[in-house]
Formats: sequence, C-alpha cells, structure tokens
Amino acid sequence: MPAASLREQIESVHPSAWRWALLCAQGRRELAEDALQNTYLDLLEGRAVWRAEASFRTFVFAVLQRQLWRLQRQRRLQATLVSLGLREADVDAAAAPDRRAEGDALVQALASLPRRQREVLALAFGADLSLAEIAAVLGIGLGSVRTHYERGKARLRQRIHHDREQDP
Amino acid sequence: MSADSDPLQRFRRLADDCRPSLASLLQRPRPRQARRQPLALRLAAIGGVAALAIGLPRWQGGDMPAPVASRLAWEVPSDRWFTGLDGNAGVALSESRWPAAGRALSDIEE
Repeated sequence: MPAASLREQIESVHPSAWRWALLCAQGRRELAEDALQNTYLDLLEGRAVWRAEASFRTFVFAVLQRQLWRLQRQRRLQATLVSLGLREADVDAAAAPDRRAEGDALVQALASLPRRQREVLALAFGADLSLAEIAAVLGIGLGSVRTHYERGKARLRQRIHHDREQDP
Repeated sequence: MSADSDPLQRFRRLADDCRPSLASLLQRPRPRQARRQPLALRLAAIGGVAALAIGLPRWQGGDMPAPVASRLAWEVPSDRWFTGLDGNAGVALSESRWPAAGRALSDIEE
C-alpha cells in the first residue's frame, strides 16, 4: 500500500484507536500516546504489514493491543526495578498524567473490571467494534467475547450505579 | 439519559477533546528507556539475591563471643553461633533448642 494511502487509512481509524487506547491505559495519556505512536510507526515503517486477511481497522487494533500489553508489562517491570532500587525512576515517563481522563467515571469503572472484560468493553465502547471484530483483535473465540461482554457490562452498570449513589 | 449523565458519551467527548493529532504523535520523541543504576550497584544487588538463594550466610560452629552470649542467653541457650557475611554474630536456632527458648521467653513475659 502506498505510504500516502496508508497514512489516510491510519487517520481514519485514529479517533477510535485513541479512545480505546485511553480506556485500556486507564486514562494514562502518556501510555496511550506511546502505544499509538509505536503502532503507527510499526505500520508506516513496514514492521507490521497488513495483508488484507482482516479489515484494516481490525489489523490496526490487533497491533495496538500487542503494543499496549508490551508497554504495560514493561512499566510493571520498571516499577518493580525502581522499588528494588535497581533503576532510577523515569521522571519524564511519569510526568503529567491526564487527571481528567484518569478521574473519568467510565475509566474508573472499567479499571475495576478483570483485564479481559475491560479489554472487550473498551473495544466495544471506545472503538465501536463488533463482537466478531473484538474476537479477531484479541485472538479469542466469539463465544468467549460474548461472555466477557455480558458479564463486564453487568458489572460496569452495577459499578456506575453504585458510584452515583455514593456521590450523586 | 442525557448526554451529560451518560458516562459513555461523557468519556467520548473527553477523549475527543484531548486527542493528539496523528502528526504530533508521529513527531514526538520515542519513549525513552529508564536510566539504569551503575553496574557495580546492580552486580552487588544480584550477588546479594544469589547469596540468599544458595543459602548464605552459612552456619559455623564455634564458641559464642561473651557479649552475644550474655545478651542472648535467655533467648536461646545455644552453644553454637555463626558469623554472617557482614561479620555480625548470630545464634543458631536449632529445632531442639527452640522449645527451651520459648519457655525462657514466656518466663520473662510473666
């Protein structure tokens, strides 16, 4: 695919990719930006090549999902090393979290869910993917996605109602 | 439900408001790796963990130094002591000695 066309395609999925990355990163703007930047550069520099086996959108989300997993794993490891005194804290990386996003009701409610339910709901609500597309992105079965979606939605509803009652 | 009270709509609006442009994402500096501590410090830490893993400091037989013996006599009536890697003396708590130590401790608490 020519670079200009590829960039246009990326531009078209960017709004929903951003919403989803922000939800998955639990409102941490810097983590969402890192994951998106790595994903787009992988695509533009040819490290991730779309072979039209799935829709372009599904492909981008699958690459982004792997970037988010990788970065989250890396940050957990870094936090452990810092706590053991084996590494200095990376001041820049920890700087300026987006307080608005972190404090958002939906972000907070999603953060309280198990990882799989959070990923499925974030893809459904943040990126407007169908359950079949979510199954392709996460590499799990459609039945499993449906179960995570229903359970997650019920828990999310419960959590949001509970928060409203606590803080009307 | 109004758009303001719907958490999903509110989140979408918030996310769209703070969305970086594609160009700005591509131009920002790549994520930086955290700086590492000096090699000597890392090696010392790894050595410490390895020493604990293979069971150091080792117990050593011998006479207990007088100050340690007087301080610990009520705790553990043991005639064995060891020296750790840092040179500090400690007391061997063998299974057979521990009941005696427990009794001595309860005597003092009473």
